[in-house]
Amino acid sequence: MTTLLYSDPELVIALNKKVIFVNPNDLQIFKEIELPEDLYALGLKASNNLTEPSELAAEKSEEKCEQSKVSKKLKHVKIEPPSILHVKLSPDNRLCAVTTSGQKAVLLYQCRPEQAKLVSVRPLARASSVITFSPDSKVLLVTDKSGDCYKYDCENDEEEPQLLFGHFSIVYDLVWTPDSKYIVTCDRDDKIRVTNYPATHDIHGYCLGHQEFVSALAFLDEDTIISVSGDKTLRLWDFKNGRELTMLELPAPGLRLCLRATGENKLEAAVLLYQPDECIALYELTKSDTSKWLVKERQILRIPGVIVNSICFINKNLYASGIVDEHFTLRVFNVDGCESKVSGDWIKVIEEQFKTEVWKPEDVSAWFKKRFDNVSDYLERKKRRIEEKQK
Amino acid sequence: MVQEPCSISLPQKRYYRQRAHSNPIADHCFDYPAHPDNVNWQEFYPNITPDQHVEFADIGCGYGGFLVTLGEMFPDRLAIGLEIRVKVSDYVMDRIKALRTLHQGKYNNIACLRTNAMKYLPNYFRKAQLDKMFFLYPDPHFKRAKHKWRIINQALLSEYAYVLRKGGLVYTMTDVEDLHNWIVQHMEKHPLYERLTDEEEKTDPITPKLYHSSEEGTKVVRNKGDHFLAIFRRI
Ligand SMILES: C[S@@+](CC[C@H](N)C(=O)[O-])C[C@H]1O[C@@H](n2cnc3c(N)ncnc32)[C@H](O)[C@@H]1O
Repeated sequence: MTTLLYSDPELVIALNKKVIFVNPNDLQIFKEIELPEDLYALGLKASNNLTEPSELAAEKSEEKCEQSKVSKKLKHVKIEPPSILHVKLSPDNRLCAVTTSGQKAVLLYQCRPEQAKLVSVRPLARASSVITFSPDSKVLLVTDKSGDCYKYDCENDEEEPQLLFGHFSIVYDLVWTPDSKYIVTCDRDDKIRVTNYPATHDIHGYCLGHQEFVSALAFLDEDTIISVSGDKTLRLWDFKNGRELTMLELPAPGLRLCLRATGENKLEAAVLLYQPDECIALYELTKSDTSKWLVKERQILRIPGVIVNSICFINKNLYASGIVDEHFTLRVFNVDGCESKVSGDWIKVIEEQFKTEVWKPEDVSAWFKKRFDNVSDYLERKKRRIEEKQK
Repeated sequence: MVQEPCSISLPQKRYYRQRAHSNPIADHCFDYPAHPDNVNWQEFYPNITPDQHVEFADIGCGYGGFLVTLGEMFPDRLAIGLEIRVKVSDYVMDRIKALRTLHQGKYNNIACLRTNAMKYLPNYFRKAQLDKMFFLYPDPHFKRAKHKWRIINQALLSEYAYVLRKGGLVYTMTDVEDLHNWIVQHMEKHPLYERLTDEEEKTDPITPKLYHSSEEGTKVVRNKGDHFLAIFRRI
């Protein structure tokens, strides 16, 4: 997995074992993090203890159970090196969180301008699917493949990760209102859920309407969120009342989303699409005098031959990271019609950083629901039985 | 839908037998509404009025014995049985159709829905819509590895609390003591439920009806000591 994110003033790029922090304008490297080889040596405890108190964790699917049995056996044979799953910077820019697979862990680094210091290594129950800091940077939330959401205290490393709530399928995105009162999550079962915080046992509501996985969320203002889904739609919601405001067809299933402000009451959204080449769609979002959001399609960006995996805006530039021949590539677009100041040579320097890393694209087709029919056969047999009886 | 010719008698269970445990987590071919607004309740309750909505849900209703009782006890209120197994839910649907034909004007307040209650409750019911939920003789899933299939756990309890109105009741009954302890432990830990007092549990008019399961083979009413009842209030 790769991560591409912007946290003023740094562009953060992560892949496999390494995180680099660069100046987005000249791509000069400020600092980097290289993952330690053996997290157990740094005090990581085996993660199974973590899940014990909560059987909710047991929500994971059967085959995962099998997998964990297998990986437990493997652990005795050889220690797999950790590999980066997700990276986030805290809103106050002082912490960097990294989740890893292989040796499943949550690492917290303290960020200084020129270096990052590892401050804690904590167990992770299952591969993470999203990580998000609280608006006050004091808490890190980690959701996993089974839909569980764990809270990691960033001020007290000793505190056990705490299970806050659970979905019944993988959670693809999580956003937290700036006032900390609501956590909004979306999952593979077409749902957007609004959970109260800190009373996370109390579900505030749902935003329902999507008909496939909901892959990404973002706030437009304090009452409105935007979502994109595998059902090829983008929707706006009054999330506190669970009301759909607007829906717009996307050219293809939506996978990721990022926003930038382009003026007062004006935003631009970039949506990563599940289709080759024409894989990024740009939309203009405008809030009218009557507080209604209007959505307009602006343009489609073509990135032929690249499997794009992450996108982010930095001012007027859109950065996209992806895979060409199992290797990392970075592309920069100016979305405002002017020249991008980022030179191709600088981009090559960044790509060099990950030259030796092999990166296989994720099979996104597995996100879609698998439908199988266990009813027709039964009804057919029933029909025959009844017909026979009537003869 | 294929229907048993209904001029005749009640459907026979032998045609509707099915392996006891479906995996509630795997994908199924459920057609479910994207939003409760999209449900046409008229298809379930032919006489439903615009201000009426489902208030009772029997989760994992099996062959529907209790659902029928519920319909008789509360003729003015709508009850739904949720059942994941194809044949079993089809049996209940046919049973209700037959009952409606045999007893004109009755049993129009009960219906059965084939769905996975662990996943799709918010697709059918609004926040605070339900007044009573029943978990009667749920599959015990004894093996630890299968505890995840249990119909009661922390995350599911939050979802049930969402569809239940404040003051609404959750009825649980099992003949497996282990499962009973599990249920009580989880319900009591959850901040949105409190257990009724012994006295309240005893005097609830529904209580006496909970002592027999509609699953085959367990029809026989055993002595009360083998049954574990617990009722909780949504707070
Ligand atoms: C042991 S039976 C009990 C049936 C009935 N309540 C009774 O008292 O006889 C449990 C039932 O729950 C159903 N069930 C299990 N998981 C379910 C789910 N996730 N959604 C709906 N029904 C489910 C099973 O198919 C089974 O019919």
